[in-house]
Amino acid sequence: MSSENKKVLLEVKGLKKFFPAERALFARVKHFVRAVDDVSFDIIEGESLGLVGESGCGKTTTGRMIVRLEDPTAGTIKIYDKPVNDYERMKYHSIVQMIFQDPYESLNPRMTIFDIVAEPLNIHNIGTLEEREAKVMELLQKVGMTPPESFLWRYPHELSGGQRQRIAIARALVLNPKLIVADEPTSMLDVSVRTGVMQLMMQLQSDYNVSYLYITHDLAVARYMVNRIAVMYLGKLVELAETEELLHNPLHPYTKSLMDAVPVPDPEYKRGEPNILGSISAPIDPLPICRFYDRCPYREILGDRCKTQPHPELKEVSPGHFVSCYPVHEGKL
Amino acid sequence: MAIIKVEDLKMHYKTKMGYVKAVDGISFELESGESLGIVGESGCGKTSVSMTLLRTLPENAEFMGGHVWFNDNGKMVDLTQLSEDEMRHYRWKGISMVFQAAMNSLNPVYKVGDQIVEAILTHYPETPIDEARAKVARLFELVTLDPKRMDEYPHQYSGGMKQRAVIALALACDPKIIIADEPTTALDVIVQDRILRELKNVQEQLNMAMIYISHDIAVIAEVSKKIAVMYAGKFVEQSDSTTIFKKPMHPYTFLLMNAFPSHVGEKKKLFTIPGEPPNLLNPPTGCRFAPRCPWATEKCGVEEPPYVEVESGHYLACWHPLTEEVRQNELRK
Repeated sequence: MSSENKKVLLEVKGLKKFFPAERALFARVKHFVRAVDDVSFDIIEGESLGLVGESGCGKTTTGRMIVRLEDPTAGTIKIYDKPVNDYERMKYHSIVQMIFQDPYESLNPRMTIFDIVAEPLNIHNIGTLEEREAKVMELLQKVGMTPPESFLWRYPHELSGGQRQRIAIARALVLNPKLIVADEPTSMLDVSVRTGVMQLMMQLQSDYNVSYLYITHDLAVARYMVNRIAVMYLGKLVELAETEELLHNPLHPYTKSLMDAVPVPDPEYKRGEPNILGSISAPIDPLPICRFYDRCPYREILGDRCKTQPHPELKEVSPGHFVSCYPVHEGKL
Repeated sequence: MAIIKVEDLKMHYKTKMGYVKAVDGISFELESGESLGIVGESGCGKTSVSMTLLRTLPENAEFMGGHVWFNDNGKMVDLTQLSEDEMRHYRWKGISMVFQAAMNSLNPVYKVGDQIVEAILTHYPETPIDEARAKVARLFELVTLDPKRMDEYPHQYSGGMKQRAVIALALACDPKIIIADEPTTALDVIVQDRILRELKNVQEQLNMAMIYISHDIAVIAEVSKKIAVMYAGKFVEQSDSTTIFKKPMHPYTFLLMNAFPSHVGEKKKLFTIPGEPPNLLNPPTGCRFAPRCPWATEKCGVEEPPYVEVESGHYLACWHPLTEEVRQNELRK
């Protein structure tokens, strides 16, 4: 994907977000949840990246920081090589938009479909009323809400979940953004409706040349939506590679067990048992060692560096394939 | 002989706008040690089936007919005809249930072990308490919980542990049939994997019959030998899992199976099903899938197809069953 002539759209470097783990009146906060801890990646124009991980791994927090719903504790986020804070907020949101998980909560129930989709145009003072109406109609048509005029004056409660998510997608697209942060946009939808929304998002990506940061827990869905996948575990990126490369050749022990844990829709397929110890915990004041150490099945055999040295860096082990694991770096795994 | 035989079961919800036909003529039977997966999208009535079987219905639900024959040591008892007191005898001892939201099915102010002891003592009042506790310890081991944690409260458990405790609770009175209603939906994949393995082990070890309800085809494929596909209050197809996946004859089954992304194997084209599931207040006449079915003819919109055995063990309700040729053509497109 990283052809020379394409511009880097999003660049995230050393991104951190710590939340206070306890908050007592007047007391100084002593413990922190390291929700996102030193995360770096970039997205090339037109490319899409999937951020995959279990609940609590920090994937949503990362997305929220990129759309500026959350301020980072440390690190930089750049859009077109310019730090996000140098953008005026209005300008920024014409470049970066978001689609939320729950279409039942992300649409204002008191607004009509037209008002919802046209609101960004109002705020940015773009076009006359007629032009806005034409733009909204065009988008509704695009997202498969046809005929558009029959939906314009309806309210969200009259629509099904899949239709609502289509409206949320139309709203995100109305300003012609370059990047859309999509946080589990299909996880609330039924299978029969979900594929339709997935295909719509893929179609829109090529029509509008928009990039997605696609946040999901579902590797199978990510496979269809993105060019590259980044796997996150307790605030850290543990592996990053092109989608098919990652799925066929996972290197980090966490990615491997994640792959083995996902059920396969084929009664004849026998998947392996995930090789992972214990259960997930919150990253409250973690030890300065590999974040996966507690759960790593190889820690007894290969873990001499893992328990003494800081969390391994995300290092390129083959072209475009990055892993943060000492034994993998040393070629032992 | 079958452990349970359900005949033409009907249950409707009474609302201001009329009857919602959530369960509308369901039939199946199950042997000891067999597992049936009921797969369907949200709102198709799959949870209502389990509530009707156990007769734990909300106030606005009305039982509209049908039989649930339960094999009580050779004697077939119709559960629908029993008084509430008689029914209580079969609930938990005959049929028990693992609910979807484990966090809500445990009482937060009682110790987890005590809640299971209570279930045992309610059904077997003569059991000495030490014996009941010993049984709970065995159940804990069966679901790989540490028996030492019996005397802890639910909030001290993680999500996966709570779900295990709820499974132990469902097994407390040695049921003949266990109904699992989306028991892993709220869990992360690695925890889900462990729960699925345990549930399957327990079911095989104790030779119980299991009814597993889920919207997730991949999960159903792993736990169930037989699969029933439910659409709009009715079963549309039922067979062994391989047939359902490889040679489905109902268009809905075929489209549903191919709408599901997989993270392994070849990256296949995903199918979409046009439209939305129907409103069960006014289900379409004739075949309920007809308005969304690419193969529907005029007859489908008028006459309802009967649910009949088309091959041994393969039940189907469709006027135009898909042939191998049609399936292959579709997959090649």
